[in-house]
Amino acid sequence: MNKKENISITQQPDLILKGTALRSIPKQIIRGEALVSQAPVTFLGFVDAKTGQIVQEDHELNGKSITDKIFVFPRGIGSTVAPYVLINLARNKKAPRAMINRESDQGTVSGSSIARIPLVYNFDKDPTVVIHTGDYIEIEINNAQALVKVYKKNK
Amino acid sequence: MKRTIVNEKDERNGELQMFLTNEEEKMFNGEFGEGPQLAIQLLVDVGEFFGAERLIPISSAHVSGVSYLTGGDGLLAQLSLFVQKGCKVAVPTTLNPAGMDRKYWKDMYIPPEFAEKQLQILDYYEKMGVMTTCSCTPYDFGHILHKGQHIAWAESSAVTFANSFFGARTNREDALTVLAAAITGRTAYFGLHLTENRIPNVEVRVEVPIKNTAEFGLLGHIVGKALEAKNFPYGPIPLFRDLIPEPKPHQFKALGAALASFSTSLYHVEDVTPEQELIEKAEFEEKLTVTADDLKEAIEEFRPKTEPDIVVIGCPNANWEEIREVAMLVQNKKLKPDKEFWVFASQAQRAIAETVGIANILREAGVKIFSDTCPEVTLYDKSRFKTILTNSTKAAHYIPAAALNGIPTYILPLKEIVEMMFQ
Repeated sequence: MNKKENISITQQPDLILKGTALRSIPKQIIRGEALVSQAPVTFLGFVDAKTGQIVQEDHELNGKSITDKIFVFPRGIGSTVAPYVLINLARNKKAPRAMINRESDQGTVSGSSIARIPLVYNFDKDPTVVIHTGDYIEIEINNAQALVKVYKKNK
Repeated sequence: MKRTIVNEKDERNGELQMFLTNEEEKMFNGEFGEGPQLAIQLLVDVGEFFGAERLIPISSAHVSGVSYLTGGDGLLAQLSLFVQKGCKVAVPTTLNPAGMDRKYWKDMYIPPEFAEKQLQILDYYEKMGVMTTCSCTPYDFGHILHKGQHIAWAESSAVTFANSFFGARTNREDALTVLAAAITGRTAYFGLHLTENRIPNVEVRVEVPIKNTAEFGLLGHIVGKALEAKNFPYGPIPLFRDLIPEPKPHQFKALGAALASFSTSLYHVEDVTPEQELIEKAEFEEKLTVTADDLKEAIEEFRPKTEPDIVVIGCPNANWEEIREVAMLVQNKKLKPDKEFWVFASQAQRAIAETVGIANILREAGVKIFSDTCPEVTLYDKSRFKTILTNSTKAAHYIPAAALNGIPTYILPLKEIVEMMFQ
Protein backbone atom coordinates (compact mmCIF):
# COMPACT_ATOMS: atom_id res chain seq x y z
CA MET A 1 0.00 0.00 0.00
CA ASN A 2 1.52 3.34 -0.93
CA LYS A 3 1.56 6.51 1.13
CA LYS A 4 -1.41 8.04 -0.61
CA GLU A 5 -3.58 5.06 0.21
CA ASN A 6 -2.69 5.28 3.92
CA ILE A 7 -3.74 8.89 4.12
CA SER A 8 -7.23 8.19 2.84
CA ILE A 9 -8.20 5.89 5.68
CA THR A 10 -7.93 8.63 8.33
CA GLN A 11 -9.85 11.22 6.27
CA GLN A 12 -13.57 11.62 5.67
CA PRO A 13 -14.54 11.07 2.02
CA ASP A 14 -15.53 14.19 0.10
CA LEU A 15 -18.33 12.32 -1.61
CA ILE A 16 -20.12 8.98 -1.31
CA LEU A 17 -21.98 7.35 -4.22
CA LYS A 18 -24.40 4.42 -3.90
CA GLY A 19 -24.84 1.99 -6.75
CA THR A 20 -25.06 -1.61 -7.92
CA ALA A 21 -22.33 -4.21 -8.39
CA LEU A 22 -22.43 -7.32 -10.55
CA ARG A 23 -23.96 -10.15 -8.54
CA SER A 24 -21.06 -12.47 -9.33
CA ILE A 25 -18.47 -10.19 -7.66
CA PRO A 26 -17.58 -11.32 -4.14
CA LYS A 27 -17.57 -9.02 -1.10
CA GLN A 28 -14.44 -6.85 -1.10
CA ILE A 29 -12.92 -3.37 -0.81
CA ILE A 30 -10.96 -1.94 -3.74
CA ARG A 31 -8.80 1.18 -3.54
CA GLY A 32 -7.05 3.14 -6.26
CA GLU A 33 -6.67 6.26 -8.36
CA ALA A 34 -9.45 7.36 -10.71
CA LEU A 35 -9.03 7.70 -14.46
CA VAL A 36 -12.15 9.39 -15.85
CA SER A 37 -13.54 9.53 -19.38
CA GLN A 38 -16.66 11.50 -20.26
CA ALA A 39 -16.76 9.76 -23.63
CA PRO A 40 -17.83 6.11 -24.08
CA VAL A 41 -15.01 3.57 -24.54
CA THR A 42 -14.64 1.33 -27.60
CA PHE A 43 -12.79 -1.68 -26.22
CA LEU A 44 -12.33 -3.63 -29.48
CA GLY A 45 -9.78 -1.88 -31.62
CA PHE A 46 -9.11 1.11 -29.42
CA VAL A 47 -7.90 -0.38 -26.15
CA ASP A 48 -4.65 -2.33 -26.47
CA ALA A 49 -4.96 -5.50 -24.36
CA LYS A 50 -1.18 -6.00 -24.43
CA THR A 51 -0.31 -2.61 -22.91
CA GLY A 52 -3.55 -1.47 -21.26
CA GLN A 53 -3.38 1.77 -23.25
CA ILE A 54 -6.20 3.61 -24.98
CA VAL A 55 -5.15 3.98 -28.62
CA GLN A 56 -7.77 6.19 -30.22
CA GLU A 57 -6.59 9.52 -31.57
CA ASP A 58 -9.89 11.35 -31.16
CA HIS A 59 -10.47 10.02 -27.62
CA GLU A 60 -9.88 12.26 -24.61
CA LEU A 61 -7.75 9.55 -22.93
CA ASN A 62 -5.65 8.65 -26.01
CA GLY A 63 -2.28 7.28 -24.88
CA LYS A 64 -3.35 6.85 -21.22
CA SER A 65 -3.13 3.47 -19.51
CA ILE A 66 -6.17 2.01 -17.73
CA THR A 67 -4.04 -0.63 -15.97
CA ASP A 68 -4.47 -0.69 -12.19
CA LYS A 69 -6.70 2.38 -12.31
CA ILE A 70 -10.26 2.79 -11.08
CA PHE A 71 -11.57 3.36 -14.58
CA VAL A 72 -14.62 5.64 -14.71
CA PHE A 73 -16.59 5.95 -17.97
CA PRO A 74 -20.23 6.08 -19.06
CA ARG A 75 -20.44 2.81 -21.03
CA GLY A 76 -18.71 0.64 -23.59
CA ILE A 77 -19.63 0.87 -27.27
CA GLY A 78 -18.70 -0.88 -30.51
CA SER A 79 -18.13 -4.51 -31.36
CA THR A 80 -19.81 -7.47 -29.68
CA VAL A 81 -16.33 -8.99 -29.30
CA ALA A 82 -15.46 -6.32 -26.69
CA PRO A 83 -15.76 -8.80 -23.76
CA TYR A 84 -12.71 -10.67 -25.06
CA VAL A 85 -10.66 -7.47 -24.79
CA LEU A 86 -11.56 -7.38 -21.07
CA ILE A 87 -10.63 -11.06 -20.73
CA ASN A 88 -7.31 -10.44 -22.52
CA LEU A 89 -6.55 -7.39 -20.34
CA ALA A 90 -7.11 -9.55 -17.25
CA ARG A 91 -4.98 -12.40 -18.64
CA ASN A 92 -2.16 -9.97 -19.46
CA LYS A 93 -2.45 -8.38 -15.99
CA LYS A 94 -3.26 -5.03 -17.60
CA ALA A 95 -6.84 -4.71 -16.39
CA PRO A 96 -8.15 -1.81 -14.33
CA ARG A 97 -8.57 -2.56 -10.58
CA ALA A 98 -12.26 -1.80 -10.94
CA MET A 99 -14.61 -0.03 -13.35
CA ILE A 100 -17.24 2.54 -12.43
CA ASN A 101 -19.86 3.05 -15.15
CA ARG A 102 -22.70 5.56 -15.46
CA GLU A 103 -25.13 3.26 -17.29
CA SER A 104 -22.79 0.49 -18.58
CA ASP A 105 -23.72 -1.87 -21.42
CA GLN A 106 -24.10 -5.54 -22.15
CA GLY A 107 -20.55 -6.23 -23.39
CA THR A 108 -18.91 -4.53 -20.43
CA VAL A 109 -21.20 -6.41 -18.03
CA SER A 110 -20.56 -9.86 -19.48
CA GLY A 111 -16.81 -9.28 -20.05
CA SER A 112 -16.40 -8.08 -16.45
CA SER A 113 -18.47 -11.00 -15.15
CA ILE A 114 -16.25 -13.58 -16.87
CA ALA A 115 -12.93 -11.70 -16.48
CA ARG A 116 -13.81 -11.01 -12.81
CA ILE A 117 -13.11 -7.28 -13.08
CA PRO A 118 -15.21 -5.59 -10.38
CA LEU A 119 -17.84 -3.51 -12.22
CA VAL A 120 -20.16 -1.10 -10.44
CA TYR A 121 -22.90 1.03 -12.03
CA ASN A 122 -26.33 2.61 -11.57
CA PHE A 123 -25.41 5.46 -9.18
CA ASP A 124 -27.44 8.25 -7.64
CA LYS A 125 -25.04 10.80 -9.21
CA ASP A 126 -23.23 10.75 -12.57
CA PRO A 127 -19.79 9.33 -11.68
CA THR A 128 -18.17 10.71 -14.86
CA VAL A 129 -19.09 14.24 -13.67
CA VAL A 130 -18.47 14.11 -9.91
CA ILE A 131 -15.27 12.05 -10.05
CA HIS A 132 -12.12 13.52 -11.64
CA THR A 133 -8.94 11.90 -12.88
CA GLY A 134 -6.48 11.65 -9.98
CA ASP A 135 -9.14 11.44 -7.25
CA TYR A 136 -8.55 8.65 -4.76
CA ILE A 137 -11.35 6.06 -4.72
CA GLU A 138 -12.46 3.36 -2.32
CA ILE A 139 -15.16 0.91 -3.47
CA GLU A 140 -16.99 -1.36 -1.02
CA ILE A 141 -18.81 -4.23 -2.70
CA ASN A 142 -21.22 -6.38 -0.75
CA ASN A 143 -24.08 -8.51 -2.02
CA ALA A 144 -24.52 -6.75 -5.41
CA GLN A 145 -24.40 -3.34 -3.67
CA ALA A 146 -21.62 -0.80 -4.23
CA LEU A 147 -20.52 2.09 -2.05
CA VAL A 148 -18.00 4.43 -3.71
CA LYS A 149 -16.05 6.83 -1.49
CA VAL A 150 -14.33 9.69 -3.32
CA TYR A 151 -11.37 11.60 -1.86
CA LYS A 152 -10.79 14.67 -4.04
CA LYS A 153 -7.32 15.41 -5.32
CA ASN A 154 -8.09 19.13 -5.77
CA LYS A 155 -10.45 20.66 -3.25
CA MET B 1 -41.37 -15.09 -7.84
CA LYS B 2 -38.31 -14.10 -5.84
CA ARG B 3 -36.22 -16.67 -4.10
CA THR B 4 -33.02 -16.61 -2.13
CA ILE B 5 -30.19 -18.52 -3.71
CA VAL B 6 -27.07 -19.20 -1.74
CA ASN B 7 -24.02 -20.43 -3.54
CA GLU B 8 -21.20 -20.74 -1.07
CA LYS B 9 -18.59 -21.55 -3.68
CA ASP B 10 -18.24 -18.05 -5.08
CA GLU B 11 -19.87 -16.21 -2.20
CA ARG B 12 -22.87 -15.24 -4.28
CA ASN B 13 -25.90 -14.60 -2.20
CA GLY B 14 -28.92 -12.40 -1.96
CA GLU B 15 -32.22 -12.12 -3.72
CA LEU B 16 -32.29 -13.32 -7.30
CA GLN B 17 -34.33 -10.79 -9.25
CA MET B 18 -35.33 -13.07 -12.15
CA PHE B 19 -38.00 -15.74 -12.39
CA LEU B 20 -36.58 -19.12 -13.45
CA THR B 21 -38.65 -22.15 -14.51
CA ASN B 22 -38.08 -25.44 -12.69
CA GLU B 23 -35.83 -26.64 -15.50
CA GLU B 24 -33.85 -23.38 -15.52
CA GLU B 25 -33.47 -23.53 -11.77
CA LYS B 26 -32.03 -27.03 -12.07
CA MET B 27 -29.61 -25.71 -14.69
CA PHE B 28 -28.71 -22.79 -12.41
CA ASN B 29 -28.00 -25.19 -9.57
CA GLY B 30 -25.75 -27.34 -11.72
CA GLU B 31 -27.99 -30.39 -12.22
CA PHE B 32 -27.29 -30.39 -16.00
CA GLY B 33 -23.54 -30.04 -15.48
CA GLU B 34 -21.05 -27.28 -14.93
CA GLY B 35 -21.15 -25.95 -18.53
CA PRO B 36 -24.85 -25.09 -18.69
CA GLN B 37 -24.56 -23.76 -15.11
CA LEU B 38 -21.78 -21.36 -16.11
CA ALA B 39 -23.85 -20.27 -19.12
CA ILE B 40 -27.11 -19.62 -17.28
CA GLN B 41 -25.30 -17.75 -14.48
CA LEU B 42 -23.92 -15.34 -17.06
CA LEU B 43 -27.42 -14.87 -18.53
CA VAL B 44 -28.71 -14.09 -15.03
CA ASP B 45 -25.90 -11.54 -14.42
CA VAL B 46 -26.81 -9.77 -17.67
CA GLY B 47 -30.57 -10.27 -17.20
CA GLU B 48 -30.48 -8.70 -13.75
CA PHE B 49 -28.43 -5.79 -15.09
CA PHE B 50 -31.18 -5.07 -17.64
CA GLY B 51 -34.04 -5.79 -15.26
CA ALA B 52 -35.25 -8.84 -17.24
CA GLU B 53 -38.12 -10.68 -15.52
CA ARG B 54 -37.27 -14.05 -17.03
CA LEU B 55 -35.54 -15.95 -19.83
CA ILE B 56 -37.20 -16.87 -23.15
CA PRO B 57 -36.55 -19.76 -25.56
CA ILE B 58 -34.74 -18.84 -28.78
CA SER B 59 -34.92 -20.52 -32.18
CA SER B 60 -31.37 -19.79 -33.33
CA ALA B 61 -28.04 -18.27 -32.32
CA HIS B 62 -25.32 -16.55 -34.30
CA VAL B 63 -21.97 -16.34 -32.54
CA SER B 64 -19.35 -13.59 -32.82
CA GLY B 65 -15.84 -13.82 -31.40
CA VAL B 66 -14.14 -16.09 -33.93
CA SER B 67 -11.12 -14.29 -35.35
CA TYR B 68 -7.85 -14.74 -33.53
CA LEU B 69 -7.14 -11.09 -34.43
CA THR B 70 -10.03 -9.80 -32.30
CA GLY B 71 -10.35 -12.55 -29.66
CA GLY B 72 -6.69 -13.33 -29.06
CA ASP B 73 -5.55 -15.91 -26.51
CA GLY B 74 -8.42 -14.97 -24.19
CA LEU B 75 -10.84 -16.39 -26.76
CA LEU B 76 -8.86 -19.63 -27.06
CA ALA B 77 -8.73 -20.01 -23.27
CA GLN B 78 -12.45 -19.32 -22.84
CA LEU B 79 -13.49 -21.75 -25.58
CA SER B 80 -11.17 -24.41 -24.22
CA LEU B 81 -12.90 -23.99 -20.85
CA PHE B 82 -16.38 -24.38 -22.39
CA VAL B 83 -15.24 -27.49 -24.28
CA GLN B 84 -13.64 -29.01 -21.16
CA LYS B 85 -16.90 -28.53 -19.29
CA GLY B 86 -18.72 -30.42 -22.03
CA CYS B 87 -20.76 -27.48 -23.34
CA LYS B 88 -22.89 -28.19 -26.43
CA VAL B 89 -25.20 -25.79 -28.20
CA ALA B 90 -28.93 -26.49 -27.82
CA VAL B 91 -30.24 -24.60 -30.91
CA PRO B 92 -29.04 -24.22 -34.54
CA THR B 93 -25.98 -22.00 -34.19
CA THR B 94 -23.94 -20.33 -36.93
CA LEU B 95 -20.56 -18.63 -36.65
CA ASN B 96 -19.17 -15.21 -37.57
CA PRO B 97 -16.13 -14.69 -39.86
CA ALA B 98 -12.76 -16.07 -38.81
CA GLY B 99 -9.45 -14.28 -39.39
CA MET B 100 -8.73 -16.08 -42.66
CA ASP B 101 -10.02 -18.37 -45.41
CA ARG B 102 -9.83 -21.91 -43.99
CA LYS B 103 -8.42 -23.28 -47.24
CA TYR B 104 -6.75 -20.40 -49.07
CA TRP B 105 -5.15 -18.53 -46.15
CA LYS B 106 -1.74 -18.60 -47.81
CA ASP B 107 -3.14 -16.50 -50.68
CA MET B 108 -3.99 -13.92 -48.01
CA TYR B 109 -0.36 -13.91 -46.77
CA ILE B 110 -1.44 -15.16 -43.32
CA PRO B 111 1.49 -16.32 -41.14
CA PRO B 112 1.34 -20.04 -40.18
CA GLU B 113 1.35 -19.23 -36.42
CA PHE B 114 -1.83 -17.20 -36.87
CA ALA B 115 -3.41 -19.93 -39.01
CA GLU B 116 -2.69 -22.57 -36.40
CA LYS B 117 -4.41 -20.58 -33.62
CA GLN B 118 -7.32 -19.76 -35.92
CA LEU B 119 -7.91 -23.40 -36.86
CA GLN B 120 -7.78 -24.32 -33.17
CA ILE B 121 -10.56 -21.81 -32.46
CA LEU B 122 -12.74 -23.33 -35.22
CA ASP B 123 -12.03 -26.78 -33.84
CA TYR B 124 -13.29 -25.76 -30.38
CA TYR B 125 -16.49 -24.34 -31.86
CA GLU B 126 -17.05 -27.53 -33.84
CA LYS B 127 -16.67 -29.58 -30.66
CA MET B 128 -19.47 -27.51 -29.13
CA GLY B 129 -21.77 -28.35 -32.04
CA VAL B 130 -21.60 -24.89 -33.63
CA MET B 131 -21.89 -24.88 -37.45
CA THR B 132 -18.63 -23.26 -38.48
CA THR B 133 -20.22 -21.27 -41.30
CA CYS B 134 -17.86 -18.31 -40.62
CA SER B 135 -19.87 -15.54 -42.23
CA CYS B 136 -21.54 -12.37 -40.92
CA THR B 137 -24.60 -12.89 -43.18
CA PRO B 138 -26.26 -16.09 -41.85
CA TYR B 139 -29.61 -14.75 -43.13
CA ASP B 140 -28.29 -15.19 -46.70
CA PHE B 141 -28.03 -18.98 -46.47
CA GLY B 142 -28.85 -20.46 -43.06
CA HIS B 143 -31.54 -19.33 -40.66
CA ILE B 144 -34.98 -18.57 -42.07
CA LEU B 145 -36.28 -15.61 -40.09
CA HIS B 146 -39.77 -14.25 -39.59
CA LYS B 147 -41.46 -11.34 -37.87
CA GLY B 148 -41.69 -11.70 -34.10
CA GLN B 149 -39.31 -14.67 -33.91
CA HIS B 150 -37.03 -14.59 -30.85
CA ILE B 151 -33.38 -15.26 -31.64
CA ALA B 152 -30.01 -14.55 -29.99
CA TRP B 153 -27.50 -13.11 -32.43
CA ALA B 154 -24.26 -11.28 -31.79
CA GLU B 155 -22.71 -9.84 -34.97
CA SER B 156 -23.93 -6.24 -34.91
CA SER B 157 -24.66 -5.92 -38.65
CA ALA B 158 -26.57 -9.24 -38.67
CA VAL B 159 -28.53 -8.20 -35.56
CA THR B 160 -29.57 -4.98 -37.26
CA PHE B 161 -30.54 -6.79 -40.47
CA ALA B 162 -32.54 -9.49 -38.63
CA ASN B 163 -34.41 -6.89 -36.56
CA SER B 164 -34.98 -4.31 -39.28
CA PHE B 165 -35.47 -6.26 -42.51
CA PHE B 166 -37.25 -9.35 -41.14
CA GLY B 167 -38.76 -8.00 -37.91
CA ALA B 168 -37.18 -10.88 -35.94
CA ARG B 169 -36.26 -10.00 -32.35
CA THR B 170 -32.78 -9.99 -30.91
CA ASN B 171 -30.74 -7.75 -28.70
CA ARG B 172 -27.17 -7.18 -29.69
CA GLU B 173 -25.83 -10.18 -27.79
CA ASP B 174 -22.14 -10.02 -27.07
CA ALA B 175 -19.64 -12.77 -27.86
CA LEU B 176 -20.05 -14.37 -24.42
CA THR B 177 -23.80 -14.06 -23.79
CA VAL B 178 -24.55 -15.42 -27.25
CA LEU B 179 -22.61 -18.58 -26.43
CA ALA B 180 -24.47 -18.82 -23.13
CA ALA B 181 -27.73 -18.40 -25.07
CA ALA B 182 -26.76 -21.07 -27.61
CA ILE B 183 -25.82 -23.51 -24.82
CA THR B 184 -28.98 -22.96 -22.76
CA GLY B 185 -31.34 -22.39 -25.72
CA ARG B 186 -32.54 -19.23 -23.97
CA THR B 187 -31.76 -15.60 -23.56
CA ALA B 188 -32.74 -12.86 -21.12
CA TYR B 189 -36.13 -11.34 -21.99
CA PHE B 190 -35.57 -7.59 -22.21
CA GLY B 191 -34.84 -4.80 -24.67
CA LEU B 192 -35.65 -5.48 -28.31
CA HIS B 193 -37.48 -8.72 -27.44
CA LEU B 194 -40.32 -6.51 -26.16
CA THR B 195 -42.58 -4.63 -28.60
CA GLU B 196 -42.57 -1.38 -26.59
CA ASN B 197 -38.78 -1.09 -26.93
CA ARG B 198 -38.89 -1.39 -30.74
CA ILE B 199 -40.74 1.89 -31.35
CA PRO B 200 -38.62 4.37 -33.35
CA ASN B 201 -37.13 7.17 -31.22
CA VAL B 202 -35.34 9.26 -33.88
CA GLU B 203 -36.89 10.64 -37.06
CA VAL B 204 -34.56 10.98 -40.02
CA ARG B 205 -35.56 12.86 -43.15
CA VAL B 206 -33.28 12.14 -46.06
CA GLU B 207 -33.34 15.10 -48.43
CA VAL B 208 -30.72 13.80 -50.80
CA PRO B 209 -31.05 10.81 -53.15
CA ILE B 210 -28.95 7.87 -51.92
CA LYS B 211 -27.55 6.32 -55.07
CA ASN B 212 -25.41 3.29 -54.30
CA THR B 213 -24.28 0.84 -51.60
CA ALA B 214 -21.35 3.04 -50.52
CA GLU B 215 -23.73 5.96 -50.00
CA PHE B 216 -26.14 3.84 -47.95
CA GLY B 217 -23.20 3.10 -45.65
CA LEU B 218 -22.26 6.77 -45.48
CA LEU B 219 -25.87 7.66 -44.62
CA GLY B 220 -25.62 5.25 -41.68
CA HIS B 221 -22.34 6.87 -40.66
CA ILE B 222 -23.82 10.40 -40.76
CA VAL B 223 -26.84 9.41 -38.65
CA GLY B 224 -24.83 7.24 -36.24
CA LYS B 225 -22.24 9.95 -35.68
CA ALA B 226 -24.91 12.62 -35.09
CA LEU B 227 -26.47 10.48 -32.32
CA GLU B 228 -23.21 9.19 -30.83
CA ALA B 229 -23.30 11.27 -27.65
CA LYS B 230 -27.00 10.58 -26.94
CA ASN B 231 -27.93 7.74 -24.66
CA PHE B 232 -30.92 5.58 -25.58
CA PRO B 233 -31.55 2.47 -23.45
CA TYR B 234 -31.35 0.07 -26.43
CA GLY B 235 -29.57 2.34 -28.89
CA PRO B 236 -31.01 4.88 -31.31
CA ILE B 237 -33.90 3.42 -33.37
CA PRO B 238 -34.12 5.67 -36.43
CA LEU B 239 -37.15 5.91 -38.65
CA PHE B 240 -36.09 6.86 -42.16
CA ARG B 241 -38.54 8.86 -44.21
CA ASP B 242 -38.16 9.76 -47.88
CA LEU B 243 -35.63 6.99 -48.55
CA ILE B 244 -35.77 5.44 -52.02
CA PRO B 245 -38.93 3.27 -52.17
CA GLU B 246 -37.34 -0.16 -52.58
CA PRO B 247 -33.73 -0.31 -51.47
CA LYS B 248 -31.99 -3.57 -52.33
CA PRO B 249 -31.35 -6.00 -49.46
CA HIS B 250 -27.60 -5.36 -49.61
CA GLN B 251 -28.24 -1.62 -49.40
CA PHE B 252 -30.26 -2.23 -46.20
CA LYS B 253 -27.31 -4.33 -45.06
CA ALA B 254 -24.80 -1.50 -45.70
CA LEU B 255 -27.00 1.10 -43.96
CA GLY B 256 -27.54 -1.18 -40.96
CA ALA B 257 -23.88 -2.18 -40.66
CA ALA B 258 -22.80 1.47 -40.55
CA LEU B 259 -25.50 2.37 -38.00
CA ALA B 260 -24.53 -0.68 -35.93
CA SER B 261 -20.98 0.66 -35.56
CA PHE B 262 -22.66 3.41 -33.49
CA SER B 263 -24.83 1.08 -31.34
CA THR B 264 -28.07 0.98 -33.37
CA SER B 265 -29.62 -2.51 -33.52
CA LEU B 266 -32.92 -1.70 -35.23
CA TYR B 267 -34.15 0.86 -37.71
CA HIS B 268 -37.38 1.33 -39.62
CA VAL B 269 -38.00 2.64 -43.13
CA GLU B 270 -41.38 4.23 -43.78
CA ASP B 271 -43.55 2.10 -46.11
CA VAL B 272 -40.85 -0.58 -46.43
CA THR B 273 -39.81 -2.47 -43.25
CA PRO B 274 -42.21 -4.96 -41.57
CA GLU B 275 -43.10 -3.10 -38.33
CA GLN B 276 -45.00 -0.12 -39.81
CA GLU B 277 -47.56 -0.35 -36.98
CA LEU B 278 -44.93 0.97 -34.54
CA ILE B 279 -44.44 4.26 -36.41
CA GLU B 280 -47.68 5.86 -35.20
CA LYS B 281 -46.69 5.10 -31.59
CA ALA B 282 -43.46 7.05 -31.91
CA GLU B 283 -42.60 10.08 -29.79
CA PHE B 284 -39.34 11.19 -31.34
CA GLU B 285 -36.59 12.30 -28.98
CA GLU B 286 -34.49 13.57 -31.88
CA LYS B 287 -35.23 14.78 -35.40
CA LEU B 288 -32.50 14.83 -38.02
CA THR B 289 -32.38 15.96 -41.62
CA VAL B 290 -29.68 14.61 -43.89
CA THR B 291 -28.88 17.13 -46.61
CA ALA B 292 -26.88 17.00 -49.83
CA ASP B 293 -24.12 18.90 -48.02
CA ASP B 294 -23.96 16.28 -45.23
CA LEU B 295 -23.52 13.52 -47.79
CA LYS B 296 -20.94 15.49 -49.74
CA GLU B 297 -18.94 16.11 -46.58
CA ALA B 298 -18.96 12.38 -45.69
CA ILE B 299 -17.92 11.42 -49.23
CA GLU B 300 -14.98 13.86 -49.02
CA GLU B 301 -13.97 12.64 -45.55
CA PHE B 302 -13.43 9.08 -46.81
CA ARG B 303 -12.21 9.81 -50.36
CA PRO B 304 -8.78 8.21 -50.99
CA LYS B 305 -5.88 10.61 -50.41
CA THR B 306 -3.49 8.31 -52.30
CA GLU B 307 -3.80 5.34 -54.70
CA PRO B 308 -4.46 2.35 -52.42
CA ASP B 309 -2.62 -1.00 -52.50
CA ILE B 310 -5.64 -3.23 -52.09
CA VAL B 311 -9.42 -3.19 -52.50
CA VAL B 312 -11.66 -5.14 -50.13
CA ILE B 313 -15.34 -5.76 -50.96
CA GLY B 314 -17.73 -7.77 -48.79
CA CYS B 315 -18.14 -6.09 -45.41
CA PRO B 316 -20.71 -7.41 -44.56
CA ASN B 317 -20.03 -10.50 -46.74
CA ALA B 318 -21.14 -10.02 -50.36
CA ASN B 319 -24.22 -11.85 -51.63
CA TRP B 320 -24.33 -13.26 -55.18
CA GLU B 321 -25.93 -10.07 -56.49
CA GLU B 322 -23.01 -7.98 -55.20
CA ILE B 323 -20.46 -10.49 -56.51
CA ARG B 324 -22.23 -10.29 -59.87
CA GLU B 325 -22.08 -6.48 -59.75
CA VAL B 326 -18.28 -6.68 -59.38
CA ALA B 327 -18.08 -9.25 -62.21
CA MET B 328 -20.06 -7.06 -64.60
CA LEU B 329 -17.75 -4.10 -63.92
CA VAL B 330 -14.40 -5.95 -64.19
CA GLN B 331 -15.29 -8.18 -67.15
CA ASN B 332 -12.61 -7.91 -69.87
CA LYS B 333 -10.48 -5.61 -67.69
CA LYS B 334 -7.21 -6.31 -65.93
CA LEU B 335 -6.22 -5.28 -62.40
CA LYS B 336 -3.28 -2.84 -62.40
CA PRO B 337 0.08 -4.47 -61.60
CA ASP B 338 1.09 -4.72 -57.91
CA LYS B 339 -2.51 -4.14 -56.80
CA GLU B 340 -4.84 -6.64 -55.15
CA PHE B 341 -8.63 -6.86 -55.19
CA TRP B 342 -10.34 -9.19 -52.72
CA VAL B 343 -14.04 -10.10 -52.58
CA PHE B 344 -15.29 -11.68 -49.35
CA ALA B 345 -18.38 -13.92 -49.54
CA SER B 346 -19.89 -16.71 -47.45
CA GLN B 347 -19.17 -20.28 -48.61
CA ALA B 348 -22.82 -20.55 -49.73
CA GLN B 349 -22.96 -17.34 -51.81
CA ARG B 350 -19.54 -18.09 -53.23
CA ALA B 351 -20.76 -21.53 -54.33
CA ILE B 352 -23.54 -19.83 -56.32
CA ALA B 353 -20.98 -17.50 -57.91
CA GLU B 354 -18.83 -20.51 -58.84
CA THR B 355 -21.78 -22.49 -60.26
CA VAL B 356 -23.10 -19.73 -62.49
CA GLY B 357 -19.65 -18.75 -63.80
CA ILE B 358 -19.31 -15.35 -62.12
CA ALA B 359 -16.32 -16.44 -60.05
CA ASN B 360 -14.32 -17.19 -63.20
CA ILE B 361 -14.91 -13.72 -64.59
CA LEU B 362 -13.48 -12.32 -61.35
CA ARG B 363 -10.41 -14.55 -61.38
CA GLU B 364 -9.65 -13.72 -65.03
CA ALA B 365 -9.65 -10.02 -64.13
CA GLY B 366 -7.21 -10.64 -61.26
CA VAL B 367 -9.72 -10.62 -58.39
CA LYS B 368 -9.38 -13.09 -55.49
CA ILE B 369 -12.46 -14.48 -53.71
CA PHE B 370 -12.21 -15.49 -50.06
CA SER B 371 -14.66 -17.15 -47.69
CA ASP B 372 -14.80 -17.81 -43.92
CA THR B 373 -13.52 -14.29 -43.24
CA CYS B 374 -14.15 -10.59 -43.83
CA PRO B 375 -12.30 -7.33 -44.56
CA GLU B 376 -12.45 -6.31 -40.91
CA VAL B 377 -11.24 -9.31 -38.89
CA THR B 378 -8.56 -10.71 -41.17
CA LEU B 379 -4.88 -9.95 -40.59
CA TYR B 380 -3.27 -7.88 -43.37
CA ASP B 381 0.40 -8.12 -44.36
CA LYS B 382 1.42 -4.56 -43.49
CA SER B 383 4.59 -4.75 -45.58
CA ARG B 384 2.41 -5.14 -48.68
CA PHE B 385 -0.66 -3.12 -47.79
CA LYS B 386 -0.19 0.47 -46.62
CA THR B 387 -3.60 1.79 -47.66
CA ILE B 388 -6.91 0.07 -48.29
CA LEU B 389 -9.93 1.00 -50.42
CA THR B 390 -13.46 -0.32 -49.86
CA ASN B 391 -17.12 0.50 -50.52
CA SER B 392 -18.00 -0.32 -46.89
CA THR B 393 -18.30 2.25 -44.14
CA LYS B 394 -18.09 -0.45 -41.48
CA ALA B 395 -14.77 -1.70 -42.89
CA ALA B 396 -13.45 1.88 -42.97
CA HIS B 397 -14.49 2.23 -39.32
CA TYR B 398 -12.65 -0.83 -37.99
CA ILE B 399 -9.66 -1.58 -40.27
CA PRO B 400 -7.79 1.63 -39.22
CA ALA B 401 -8.33 0.82 -35.50
CA ALA B 402 -4.86 0.90 -33.92
CA ALA B 403 -5.34 -2.29 -31.88
CA LEU B 404 -6.60 -4.20 -34.96
CA ASN B 405 -4.89 -3.71 -38.34
CA GLY B 406 -4.26 0.04 -38.05
CA ILE B 407 -4.21 0.62 -41.83
CA PRO B 408 -5.75 3.82 -43.32
CA THR B 409 -8.92 2.86 -45.21
CA TYR B 410 -10.88 4.91 -47.74
CA ILE B 411 -14.32 4.62 -49.34
CA LEU B 412 -15.53 4.97 -52.94
CA PRO B 413 -18.56 3.57 -54.79
CA LEU B 414 -17.76 0.27 -56.50
CA LYS B 415 -17.89 1.76 -60.00
CA GLU B 416 -15.27 4.40 -59.16
CA ILE B 417 -13.11 1.80 -57.41
CA VAL B 418 -13.00 -0.28 -60.57
CA GLU B 419 -12.20 2.81 -62.67
CA MET B 420 -9.26 3.60 -60.37
CA MET B 421 -7.80 0.10 -59.99
CA PHE B 422 -8.29 -1.57 -63.40
CA GLN B 423 -6.88 -0.91 -66.81
